[in-house]
Amino acid sequence: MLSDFKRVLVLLVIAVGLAFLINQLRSEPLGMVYTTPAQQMKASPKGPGIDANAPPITVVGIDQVIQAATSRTHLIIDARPDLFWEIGHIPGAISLPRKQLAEYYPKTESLLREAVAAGRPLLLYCADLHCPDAGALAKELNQRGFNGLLLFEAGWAAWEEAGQAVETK
Amino acid sequence: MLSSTSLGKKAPWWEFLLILIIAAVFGYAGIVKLLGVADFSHVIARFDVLPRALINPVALILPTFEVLLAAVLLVPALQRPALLGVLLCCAMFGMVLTSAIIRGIPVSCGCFSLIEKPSLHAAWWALGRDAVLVAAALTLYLKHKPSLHPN
Repeated sequence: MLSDFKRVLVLLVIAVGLAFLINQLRSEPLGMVYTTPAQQMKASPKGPGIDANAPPITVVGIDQVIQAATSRTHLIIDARPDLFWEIGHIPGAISLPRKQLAEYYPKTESLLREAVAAGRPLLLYCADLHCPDAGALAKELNQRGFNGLLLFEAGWAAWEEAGQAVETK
Repeated sequence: MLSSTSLGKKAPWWEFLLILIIAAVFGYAGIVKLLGVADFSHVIARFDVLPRALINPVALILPTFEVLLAAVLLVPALQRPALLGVLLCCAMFGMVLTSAIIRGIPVSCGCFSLIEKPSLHAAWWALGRDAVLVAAALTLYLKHKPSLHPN
């Protein structure tokens, strides 16, 4: 059994080496220090055509989201996979799943641009504090020219916990 | 039907099948995570058991280790240490999942999909799957006698 442990240890050492090698080969290597989705959003977006001086994405709390959902002054975007939107979402929210963006974006782009033109800020959310979808979607939208995005980082979990109204498909 | 494994020259077909299933499960789970390491780091963070400095290194190393174990499981001479590796991983997954359930933290295990909705229900299911894997790997490990195994 001791020799088995030694061999497992050797495998682990090989895995460590391979893991960091594979990471270096990625187009966007994962940094060594973990950052929450909200922290990632606070970093300035990089890339061609990105205005580094664009207003930062603002993290909002549940009170602002409740007000936005009640008054319909914002366009609320659910970045979770569409199945979760169908099961339940913040009233008035549209589904724009980050992982199905290629499919959904062409169908919703005009709606997003009309909302922004009408002075309705885009407010994004996903499952909870640790879900990456809303943050990543905000980054994608920012790269497509949308600014002044609002991020409800506590997301659907906080909305449900607060006992707020739920709309289904 | 007999197949070749590290158990000896011939082993029952069901052992070969179990090895294949465990290798497939670990291989698939590892590849899914490797393709979405950034998402997997958020899954790990949700468990709230690791210091921030270790989350990303673990997100990188764990899937690679899983894929490596899956590959090594298919090498008859290395099946015993690979099974021990599987057992250690499953033990770790079990402890982390149990800890999340006890603390009431809704989690998704991130085992086979990184878009699974976090919930205590999902954590229970993951713990059940983990127990099945432990049972299968332990059975095989105990049957693979070290004396029949070249050192």
